[in-house]
Amino acid sequence: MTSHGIRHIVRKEFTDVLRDGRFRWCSVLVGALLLVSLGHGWVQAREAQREHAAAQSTAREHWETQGEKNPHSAAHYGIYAFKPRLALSFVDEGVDPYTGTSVWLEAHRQNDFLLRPAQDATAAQRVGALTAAQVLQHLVPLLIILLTFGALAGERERGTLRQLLATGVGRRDLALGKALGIAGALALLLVPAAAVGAAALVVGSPGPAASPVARAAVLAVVYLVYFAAFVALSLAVSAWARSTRTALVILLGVWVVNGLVAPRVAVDLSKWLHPTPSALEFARTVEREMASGTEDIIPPDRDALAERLMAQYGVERVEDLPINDVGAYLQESEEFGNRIFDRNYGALWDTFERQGVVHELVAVAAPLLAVRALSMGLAGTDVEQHRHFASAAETYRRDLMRRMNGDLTENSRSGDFSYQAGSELWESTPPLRYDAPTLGWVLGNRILSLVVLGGWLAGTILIAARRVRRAEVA
Amino acid sequence: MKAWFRLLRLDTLRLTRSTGVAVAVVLFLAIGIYAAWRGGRNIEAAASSAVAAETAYQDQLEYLLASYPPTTDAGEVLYYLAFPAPQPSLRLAALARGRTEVESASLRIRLLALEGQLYEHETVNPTLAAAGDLDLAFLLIGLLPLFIIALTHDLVSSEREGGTWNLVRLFARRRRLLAPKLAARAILVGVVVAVPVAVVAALAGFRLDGRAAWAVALVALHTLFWFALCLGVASGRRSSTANAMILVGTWVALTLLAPAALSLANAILHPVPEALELTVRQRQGYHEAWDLSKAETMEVFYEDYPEWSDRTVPEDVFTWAWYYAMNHRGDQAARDASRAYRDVLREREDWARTWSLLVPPLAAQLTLDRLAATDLGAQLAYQDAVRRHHERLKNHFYPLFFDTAPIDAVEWDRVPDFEPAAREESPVRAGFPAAAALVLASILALAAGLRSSAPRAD
Repeated sequence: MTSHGIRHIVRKEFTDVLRDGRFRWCSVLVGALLLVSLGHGWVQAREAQREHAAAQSTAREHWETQGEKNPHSAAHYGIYAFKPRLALSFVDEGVDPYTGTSVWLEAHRQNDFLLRPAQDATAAQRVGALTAAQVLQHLVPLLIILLTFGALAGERERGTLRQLLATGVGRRDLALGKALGIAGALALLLVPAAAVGAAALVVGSPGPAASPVARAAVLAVVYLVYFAAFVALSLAVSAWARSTRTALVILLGVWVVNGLVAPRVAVDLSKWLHPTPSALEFARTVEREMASGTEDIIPPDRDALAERLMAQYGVERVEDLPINDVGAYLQESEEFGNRIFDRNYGALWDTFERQGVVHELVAVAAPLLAVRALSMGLAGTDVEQHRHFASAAETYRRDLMRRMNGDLTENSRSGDFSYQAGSELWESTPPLRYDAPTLGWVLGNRILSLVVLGGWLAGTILIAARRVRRAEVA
Repeated sequence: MKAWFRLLRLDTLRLTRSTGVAVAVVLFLAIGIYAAWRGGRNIEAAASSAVAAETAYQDQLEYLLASYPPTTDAGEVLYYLAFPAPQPSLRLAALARGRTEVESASLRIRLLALEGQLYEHETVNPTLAAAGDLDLAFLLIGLLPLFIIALTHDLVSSEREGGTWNLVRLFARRRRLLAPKLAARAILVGVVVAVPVAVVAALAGFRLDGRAAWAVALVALHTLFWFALCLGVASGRRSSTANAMILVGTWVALTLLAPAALSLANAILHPVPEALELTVRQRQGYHEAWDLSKAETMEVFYEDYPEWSDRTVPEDVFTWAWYYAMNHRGDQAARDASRAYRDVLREREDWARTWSLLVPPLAAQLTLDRLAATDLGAQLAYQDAVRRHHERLKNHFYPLFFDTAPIDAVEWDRVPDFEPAAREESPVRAGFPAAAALVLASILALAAGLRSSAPRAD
């Protein structure tokens, strides 16, 4: 068998697809949806980025111009922090609609993120938003199935499979040729979309970039592997099924389980294996521990602290201290609270991540889950990167509180409630600087998904090769 | 007539003996019963969380009263106390969970500024929330059509492809041949729908009256719509494969694409006015008051509560009356932004209700949520109920703050209880538009299908 033969099959399959009106319209539709969702995602991401930048600078201005006041009042006043959107978030919005992207940083408490668009959504949105990720994860595989289910079963039904093989075309070459022909047809809609995506990144990246080009390249590879696995699987079923109808029904069953059933089953499975406390339980636990501490974390004692400070400075009365004991006490309370927060929020985040591992394991049965995890990770919109930002914001909050309490401690005296700091202090606190995690960090979190997805590709190719070898000719 | 029933029996037997159909039925029933069981458990969980909210309140109250001397200012103790506001869910919510998975229906309200307390949410993993919920509504609205398509796409074409069509056509009219086949499939689908619905009704304990009857009727009408569509497409002269592709394409368009496109349009047409502003304004309103004279803050307070305008607060000392008036100032500053925000959400909900009538699955889904009171409208009504409760609590406690009463002056038995949002919308009003739309869509789908196949009647 010559490569000329393969080329012939590829060309025939390719032109067959292009000539078939149904496929042509399906492809045009999917391609258009992909372009529209990419464009819309990009515009929206730019808009959100601009709004956040404006709000961030307003918040900073409010902070710097808050006038003369006690540093502790300023700490209560607090400041907003915004999670920057990474460059690729326009491809996959991930968990952002459910987490919110901004948080108020203030004294004594670790706040939840606000502005969750899911909150403003009608129930219609729960079915799925029109994002590029949704099109790539659900519709392109469906298109692949429609392009491929008849590839071998159809030839057999029409009796042309026997003729083809009689001309000396090898079975492997036939299957490979079919796969490449379909890939060519898919390329007609994927290449322009990729070009548009790349252009969007170059023209005006919607956000700060942590190696956006490398992330985009890996993202493209992930989706190509996913599509290749679907082509191989569809060919395998087409070779095995008795009729085109059976092939189509089986493949649609696979598609439904992969895209609609498995993700929801994974949700229940992970909740059952790693339950999370209800909002009420969680809030009550934090309140209780904030009020009376735990076995290892003891709430600060103001009198004992004053005693300690007086001994340290060798004075008899609190009023004689060269510092303000209230500031020191506030800082101790802050540190006590931080340990309670770390304990509770840390456990909650850890549970979320364990639930994520369950999802990655269910991907063995449904590759969508692996692709989704990787896609969100590379777009910078998964739970891990949300946590990454949330902890950076929390570290910043703690630093801010330390500065406020430090200023109060050092620049005023005990019993003095009239002390006021000014713009000098507000301006000297640096704004929040956040570095998004690197590509290595993201992929390190997602090794399981990478392995599972790779396994899917290898497995489907092996099965396809086997089925094609054993396919009946009539 | 006897022959008709014999055909029906024959078709039913033929259907159930096919391995593919048997596997699909068993799978669907299994998922359906699981979803029903889950729905029942969610109702139990909601009920126990309402109890937990009350227990948490009693615990906290007990703790506070034990840790503060009875002479402490009432304002100081009440600063910490969170009052429960649990909204009991309808039993029908077991069928359609809607937004309740992510939104809290059991807020706890402190006497401080309210705006910031209204948007608390469940501690649910966002990855899980994004995946969607496996409730019975998703199964019966989202997936059931695929089951119907699998059963009916080859209604005629299979006979034709099997070479038997011309033979059987010799003995009977087309309609007489199709009717028993269709009836056999309807029985099968009916079982697959009825069993989980019966299970969920038993577990969650709802009877088929009012809302529940409308919900079941909608599920039935939606099923009918897909039967009509399938019959219309399947009675044409196309091959089984072509029928399957057309029907699955329609399903993708109606179940996945149209809802996504509509919500996109909705979000563009009704942009949420910078929700940030709401929080910023409230915080500004509250914090600015630290720099104002107490009289200025109270002045604003008396605008909303003229009945207390004769109660003044001293300028030189801290009073709880003034402190809570500052909090009120925060809510007041956010009031317009908050109202604008809610207005947009209501517009979004109305718009979705109207336009969803064009998309049968979406109309059915939204209406189920509406009947089960798990939709955005119900969430907004709940927030309004919480607002009213906050107001009642303020009216109850503020006199104590003006009197600088101690905490043991509070009569705890007389603290107002939360009055949940009333579900007064009549089920007819909620259910009728979607039901009418579904009937109309069924007729249109059937007519369009039959018409396209009519010219070449065989």
